[in-house]
Amino acid sequence: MSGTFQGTYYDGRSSQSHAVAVLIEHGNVIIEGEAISRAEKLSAVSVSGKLGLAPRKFSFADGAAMEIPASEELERALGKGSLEWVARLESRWAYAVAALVVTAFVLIAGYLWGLPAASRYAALRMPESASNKIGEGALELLDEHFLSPSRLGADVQQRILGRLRAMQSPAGELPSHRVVFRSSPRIGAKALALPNGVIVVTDELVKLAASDEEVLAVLGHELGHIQERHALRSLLQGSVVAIVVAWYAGDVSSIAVGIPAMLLQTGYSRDFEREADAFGARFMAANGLPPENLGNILRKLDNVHGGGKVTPYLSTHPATEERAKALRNIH
Amino acid sequence: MDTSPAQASVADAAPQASVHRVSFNGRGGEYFRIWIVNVALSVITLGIYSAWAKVRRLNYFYRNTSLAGSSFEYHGQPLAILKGRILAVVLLVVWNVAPEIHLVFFLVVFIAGLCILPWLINSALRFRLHNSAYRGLRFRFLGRVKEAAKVFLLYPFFVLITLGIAYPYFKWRTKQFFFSHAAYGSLQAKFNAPLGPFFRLYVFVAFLGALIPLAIALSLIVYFRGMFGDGSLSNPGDLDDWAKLLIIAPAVFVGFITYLGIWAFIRARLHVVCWDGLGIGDHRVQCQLNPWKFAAISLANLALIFLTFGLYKPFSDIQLTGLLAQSIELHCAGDLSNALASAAVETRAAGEEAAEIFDMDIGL
Repeated sequence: MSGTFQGTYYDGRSSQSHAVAVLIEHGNVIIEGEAISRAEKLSAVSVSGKLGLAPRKFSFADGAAMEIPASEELERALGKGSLEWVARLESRWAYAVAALVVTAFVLIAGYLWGLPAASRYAALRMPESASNKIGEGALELLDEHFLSPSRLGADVQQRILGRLRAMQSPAGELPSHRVVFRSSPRIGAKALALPNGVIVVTDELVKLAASDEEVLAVLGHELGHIQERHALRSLLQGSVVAIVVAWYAGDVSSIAVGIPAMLLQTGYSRDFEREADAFGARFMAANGLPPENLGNILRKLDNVHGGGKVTPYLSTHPATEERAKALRNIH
Repeated sequence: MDTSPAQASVADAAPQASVHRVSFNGRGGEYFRIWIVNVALSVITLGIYSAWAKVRRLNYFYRNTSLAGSSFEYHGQPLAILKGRILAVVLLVVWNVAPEIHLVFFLVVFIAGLCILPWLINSALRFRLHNSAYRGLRFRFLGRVKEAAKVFLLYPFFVLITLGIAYPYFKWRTKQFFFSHAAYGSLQAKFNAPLGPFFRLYVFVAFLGALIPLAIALSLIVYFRGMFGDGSLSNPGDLDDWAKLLIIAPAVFVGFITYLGIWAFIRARLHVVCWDGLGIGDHRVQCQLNPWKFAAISLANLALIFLTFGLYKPFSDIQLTGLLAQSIELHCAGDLSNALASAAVETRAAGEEAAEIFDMDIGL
């Protein structure tokens, strides 16, 4: 392919610009201008690929440079440039729309399925010792600020612990765990699974429960968190979400990053709660105890903590009614 | 040195002042297609292609920007950028995970981070400028890590102990660090922006930023007082959730918009203050841009970006970059073509040296 073009040439030693006539034919590029005359093989010159209608740039081995305004004729004369296939995709609106659809699909599929699957795979294969390193000092921290020693009678504690020890796991071995009782008027009735296997149960929760079975149901739910390594998965998934949102929205505004990231992260948190519920229900069923116990204690906890009318998308836990219904369906 | 034809003609030519305004030819539709295709490819390759996408993106802006009939070019190599991005991701992950593991670990990571920050910033600036070219000659960045450490570690500390009052000075110093060490060929830039406009800008902005949301909040309180003024509302806790939302939401929303508008206003003012009066060799830059107009356009664009889930961003980038680029005018002491002569050997050596250092490009 050949053609003659008007270009601007720079010798690479000064910023003087020279208007030149450029002939491209038979794989050669011949440049003629005032006090300039050179001929090179096109293959010896580094030519920039097509980029919209931006000028095409030429770089010579001796440091000289040249630019020629883009045109279809020039494209034909130069033949295939670098990343030609990308330039072809960029040139049609049909491809742009397709790219948009593909991007949306991959991001949504990644969020809903890809990332959780990869995170679960990685987290469950990590050795327990590594997983336990997370939040090592958490219990000490909680004891310092929120928790006081339990006021439950030793007999009550032993009874619950004894029953728990006698229970079987619904599948395989139970993860290593240690249940501790604490009193906490500040936090109220609650059970917490710390990443290193410690489960904190407050006196208030034991008092709220109508029976030991309800406490065991909550312990089952917490064991689910530990078994499924939710703390580690939450950290992995939360970090990736934060990175992707920051990359996409970050240069619009750094504030804009916070809310979408949080909404996406609480979405994952609600999935973890559902998973823990399912484990808790199977745990109860495997030991001949009714899973409804979990639903019952969840409702009581909801009432005691003054169920807020917060929109479900901001909440880290699914709505209690939804959880109770799901539990009824597990036998 | 040797008397090249260019230098000979400088001695002969009668000095003739010339004025050249920067022009920008980027097109929104064209750039949108480039942007979305490159985003799709980056997402499909889990981010690996993003280094090539960045080169393409920057080159679209560089090549469509021209001065005195010549356009710019970006020479950054995708592999070097990829290395930098992988490093950045590793650093980010460590930064996120460290506090979860143990406080001591986090402190170590934090201090190590502070130590390499000046080096990272300096390297990124060198990479960016060294890979920027105009008329076949490269730009250079001559800043040193020691000074970067002073500017980016010591001065923020000053800002902290003066409770923010030293912030305009810190900002001025960072701009001075960048501009005064920039060079094109043999021409060194001279940063002439005075400190005064920086202080005036931030005082004004702090005033606006505090005043507007306060005004909204006050007027809402007055309004609600009027509605419940008969004293039936002695305890704000008596308001139900919806009423509380009605008071807080508009104030937060207005505060948010004010913040975004202020950020755009600052961007425009800093651009003008830094570029206006900048010296490049014997030439001077003049820069004029109405910051209110820029802020208004930015806000309108942000609204459109929000409504389109980010799809309008490429159009906005083109428009805003065009405004900023075309606000710059170069006043040449002589003819531009002859004036920017440089000793090629000197330039080449500086370029090689920069390339030998870990070529990295972080987030710029």
